[in-house]
Amino acid sequence: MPMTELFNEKYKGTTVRIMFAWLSDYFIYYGVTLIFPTILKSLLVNSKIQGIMYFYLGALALLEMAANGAAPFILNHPLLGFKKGFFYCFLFTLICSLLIVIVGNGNLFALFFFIAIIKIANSLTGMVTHSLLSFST
Amino acid sequence: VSTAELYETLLRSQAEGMCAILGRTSIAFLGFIDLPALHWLNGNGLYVLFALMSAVGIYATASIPYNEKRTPLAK
Repeated sequence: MPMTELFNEKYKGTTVRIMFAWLSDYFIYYGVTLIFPTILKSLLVNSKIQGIMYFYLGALALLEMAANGAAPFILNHPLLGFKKGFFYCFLFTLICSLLIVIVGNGNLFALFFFIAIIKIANSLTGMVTHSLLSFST
Repeated sequence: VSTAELYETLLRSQAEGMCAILGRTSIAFLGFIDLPALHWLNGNGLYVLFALMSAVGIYATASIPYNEKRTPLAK
């Protein structure tokens, strides 16, 4: 089956949109996973509580596990479903990112709080992204 | 499940492979912006990029032509 069929008239719109959604989802996922620890380290460089960084990163991993566990319930909820679930998770990420820019710079507690929400929303969108590819099942 | 649905599921599996490449590409992109992103926009560069990518995701999902029941959305 030629892969060019993904871009024929019937599937082109869906393929391109899912690709962009997937790219955004993974970009944010790896941003939180790879770059955020560096930012935390630079924020805590003169602090006596540098160890809290590792505690917080561990807590983020637990939140991701919980979000992955909750994803099926959210996806199957009659008021949300796949598409709205995806939409609202990205919306939460957008709002929290802007809130970090407004109030999170220098405020460690606010930064922790909003990054945790982004992590949960991003984990949920990750689960939805996989599910988007199997609508017919 | 009809043959047409199976065919479409197979196509979507191929789409997953292609999209996964894009996802992994984001790691390379992050590699380029890694340290500079810490200093952009008074240290907010990464979060602004998060907001921009979320906006792209919102547009992509909101305009996707199928809903979860696999029926075309009313225009």
